[in-house]
Amino acid sequence: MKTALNGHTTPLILSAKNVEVKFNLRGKTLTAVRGASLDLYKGETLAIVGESGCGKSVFTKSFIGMLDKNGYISGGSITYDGEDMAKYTTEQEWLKVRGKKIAMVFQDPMTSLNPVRTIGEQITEVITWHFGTEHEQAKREAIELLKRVGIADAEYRYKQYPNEFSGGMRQRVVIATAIACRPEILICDEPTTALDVTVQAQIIRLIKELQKELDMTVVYITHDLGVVASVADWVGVMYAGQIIEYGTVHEIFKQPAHPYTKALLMSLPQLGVKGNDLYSIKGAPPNLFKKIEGDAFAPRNPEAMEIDFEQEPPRFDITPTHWAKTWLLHPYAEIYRKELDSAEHKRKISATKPEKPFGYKNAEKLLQVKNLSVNFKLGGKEFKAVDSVSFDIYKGETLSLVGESGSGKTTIGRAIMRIYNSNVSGSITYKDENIVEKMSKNETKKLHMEMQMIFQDPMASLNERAKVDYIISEGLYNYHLFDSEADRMHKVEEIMQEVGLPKEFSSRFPHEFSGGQRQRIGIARSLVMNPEFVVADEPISALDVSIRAQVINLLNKLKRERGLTYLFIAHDLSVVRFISDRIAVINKGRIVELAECEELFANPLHPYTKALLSAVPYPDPDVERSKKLLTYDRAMHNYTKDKPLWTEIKEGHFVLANQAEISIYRTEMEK
Amino acid sequence: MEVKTNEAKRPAAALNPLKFRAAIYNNMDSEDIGFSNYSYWKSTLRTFFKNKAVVALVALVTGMIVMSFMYPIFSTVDPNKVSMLPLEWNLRPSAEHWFGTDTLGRDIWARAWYGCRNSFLLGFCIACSDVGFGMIAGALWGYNKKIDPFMIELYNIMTNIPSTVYMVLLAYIMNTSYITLFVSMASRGWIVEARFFRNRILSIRDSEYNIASQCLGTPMRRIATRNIIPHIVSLIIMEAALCIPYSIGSEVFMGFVGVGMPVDAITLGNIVNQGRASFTLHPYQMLLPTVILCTITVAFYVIGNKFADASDPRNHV
Amino acid sequence: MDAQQLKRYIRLIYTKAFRYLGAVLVLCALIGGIYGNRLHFVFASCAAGSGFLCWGWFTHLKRTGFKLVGFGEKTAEQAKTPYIWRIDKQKRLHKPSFMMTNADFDDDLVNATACNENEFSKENIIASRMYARAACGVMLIVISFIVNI
Repeated sequence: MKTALNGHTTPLILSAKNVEVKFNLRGKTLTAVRGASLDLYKGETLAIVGESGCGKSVFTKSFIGMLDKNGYISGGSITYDGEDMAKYTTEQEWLKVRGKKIAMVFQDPMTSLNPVRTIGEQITEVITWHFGTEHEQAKREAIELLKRVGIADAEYRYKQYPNEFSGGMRQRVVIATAIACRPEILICDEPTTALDVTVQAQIIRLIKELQKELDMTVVYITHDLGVVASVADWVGVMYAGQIIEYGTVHEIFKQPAHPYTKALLMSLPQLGVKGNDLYSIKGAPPNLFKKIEGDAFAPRNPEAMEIDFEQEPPRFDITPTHWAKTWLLHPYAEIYRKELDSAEHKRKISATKPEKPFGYKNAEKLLQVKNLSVNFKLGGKEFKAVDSVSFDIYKGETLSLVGESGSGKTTIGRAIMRIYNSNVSGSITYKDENIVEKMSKNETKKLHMEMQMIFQDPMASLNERAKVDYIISEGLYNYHLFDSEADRMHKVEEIMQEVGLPKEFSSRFPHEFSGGQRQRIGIARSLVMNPEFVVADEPISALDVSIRAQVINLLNKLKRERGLTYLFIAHDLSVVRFISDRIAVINKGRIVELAECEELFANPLHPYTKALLSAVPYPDPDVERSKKLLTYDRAMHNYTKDKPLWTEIKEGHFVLANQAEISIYRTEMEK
Repeated sequence: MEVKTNEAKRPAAALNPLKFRAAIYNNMDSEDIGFSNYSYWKSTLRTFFKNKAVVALVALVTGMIVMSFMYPIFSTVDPNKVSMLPLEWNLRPSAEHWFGTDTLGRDIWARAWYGCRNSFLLGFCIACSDVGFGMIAGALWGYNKKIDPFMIELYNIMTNIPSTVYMVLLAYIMNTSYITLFVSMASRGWIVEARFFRNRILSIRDSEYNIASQCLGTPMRRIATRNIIPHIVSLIIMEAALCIPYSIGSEVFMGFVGVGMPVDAITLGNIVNQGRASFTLHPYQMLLPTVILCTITVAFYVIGNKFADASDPRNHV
Repeated sequence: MDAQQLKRYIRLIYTKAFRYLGAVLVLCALIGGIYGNRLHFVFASCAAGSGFLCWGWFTHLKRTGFKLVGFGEKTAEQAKTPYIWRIDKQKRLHKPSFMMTNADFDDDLVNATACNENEFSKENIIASRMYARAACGVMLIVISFIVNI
């Protein structure tokens, strides 16, 4: 039987064959999915991994007929329930399946929720729509559903609007809405990408539980290999509109066959050696306007073979459950494959030792933050975004500030950059000068020359109506830092070269670049001022896995060559470990723990740090499945009498704790 | 079990074993994601003019605007010339009077274009005041969180009253004049525009590229000219374009219900109203002004909508 | 109802009352315009005002249990595609912003300006209709006194 041979034990429910999806864009036709095939079996969990633009979302959206209006299925078949859905043309046909049999959870919960209706009504609406239940009955069921997805005080929450919910709560509501019709297949399109790590872990756990309860097939679409390792039974790797490798999660992580899969796994910062360059995939994903010849990954693969540029590789079966589309598996390529393997082996052995940790003994303090508080007014109420935070930054180090969204980490970065003119109290001393107070024009100028910021979202941080040339030279214009037009052009070209962009790109608009390239433009914009100190506000969190390594390497290179000092703001501990010298963990506006990088990973003390460390997905299915998730609740501290103090518990290791906790931590450290 | 070959697009031709060796790696190829030569305004205009109907409507509207402003300059016919001879009243269309004369013997063709000009002027004034005030108020609102409660209350009070209430009440309580008409039409529109522009300006103000400009020490003047205005120009054009037919329509409505302009003023509203009075006997008198009115309203509405679509980068397909 | 909710409730009544008023004033103005006489406008608004007061009164009666045959019976709602499963979530044509209502905005002010029936109970909604109709009637009668003939 077919199922037995493929290693699947449950019946096949959906079969997509050679699906091709096209889009009409600016008078051209773009092929987003180029003949991708996929089988879904009952009750299984499949993860589709790929970078943005590889067509993974489009591919799955075609299963429920929710393609954008300029997109259409142009070939192949999607068989579900004995019908070929690729032939569906009307909305009525799709509505028999969409939401009822196959449901989807999108990355941004706000695209699924109507902002002007209460969330309860929206779930009730789905229930009455599908089951025809009476309103009152449906309302009761909706409240049950809300409770099921972990929303406390569901009766009260029922009447609230989506904007009164946090991101994680919204995603829970969307999940409740999606499962309201008891679908057979649940497609989760990057369900946790926009969420914090601890929330992400909870949402993933929730989906797992619901999957068991309702016996659903779950398809995860993600770029995060850590998530894949923790949830998937099966993995499909997608690149340039095709599934290029498919297998069980262990096969993909332990014996990847396609060069792209291998590269993706190697470029993870978790596997990097500090002080060395991270393995990085060159370039950017292909533009699908172009006709792709041969293996789509070949132009970015330094080890590609000549045939890769000429012919598209067929599917080669490695084991009954594992196949890949690469010419490397062809018998003719055996010699070359062996060569590559031995080269790879050598590279692994020669991977140099980690660099020496940063010497704090003789370091000079560049920036001192003392009792910094930032208050915001929101809806008439004042709240503390940052609550008396103190830390120092030494010249030449990288200090990372790690915390979840809303913890105030970005606020600290922006307070240092003097973005908020009022409501900042405490002191920030940069080179013996307090920069919180009002400053003269000259002093401000000096500060702008020495301190710069790199932003999180490369899509939002560049002015869309300006050319790259203007964007990079904005700082030069402001302080007239050039002698002549030629000098300015020269400076722009120089900096573009430094961040690895061809200088011809300077006359283009930001639209024409991919995320990683845009981030490099953003880095160039701040570096053209020749700063000493850079606040990097989550510079890589919005980037694809394959691009991250490029940007991390670039930041490290600049640090070495220019002697920069970084305040690196991040939410992902795995990346931070690779690049930082010291790490500060921040929760709800207060820094709870600060230590040197390795010390923090070896001896985390504060329960929040421990929870954060346990929630980080690790790209290894064995590690990930045996992991225990720790949760943190503020109520576990008893701070009514015994107030917490910022204490140095060991040299260089600070923690926020009261007397009772300090003694517990001390005994913990001695063990 | 499925076999590998059914996946490959081409039939497996004879493979050359020599091709299975390392190829030369080109860095530029990997970096280039394809030069799409995108520019916001080019794409906006391209999307806008792709529709043939839009091109025709734009041509038509431009023609009408030119005509209504040129006719009064070059024509020698006095639109207010009242004839004492009853013989010249209510004339049928002829070579001399293309669309006939009205109850007082005034040439309808001439009056229609004079009326059209005045209505356009009124429309432009109202569009300017609505969008202008709205934008200024919106900018202030966006940049001052403190005035939020006040503006929200004002917004709630004003927008929950339909615009017809303002128009009818003001027209009945104040005397009919240009000022009344202007006040009653311009008194409400700006607050909704203000919220609209507030949202845009707020999102631009808080966007990362604007914060980047602040970090680079960009002066306010350049932030306004480089960061804010280029992002809202298309909105201003669109809002103004949609305001014009609305104002012209409102003026006609007011004329129709008898509380518009003073009787001696030549506006489309008055002409339509006079045509209506003699509609039972001389229906052709109403023809020209109504056709002009419908054309303006429909054309501007369609143009405004199409422009709104075209200016949205998501529709640049 | 807490203070915030009461405020929103009053806003709901106010909005409804003015919506009625807007529609009726157009009608009155048309009557006045067709007869070419301000007096007719005053008459029409006075009559409409009285009518609205009556309507408000009947709404009140109905609320307390008095039934008129065939008065305000509801037809079943049509099943619409739930929001989450619509493809084009902003399907409506673009509205010029001066014609946008609160529901057309998607910003942080939606709550502060919301005028939404969903959050109130059925009784409250019917009561709000009654108040709105009565208020509209009063306003129309007042208008008929203010306007000079």
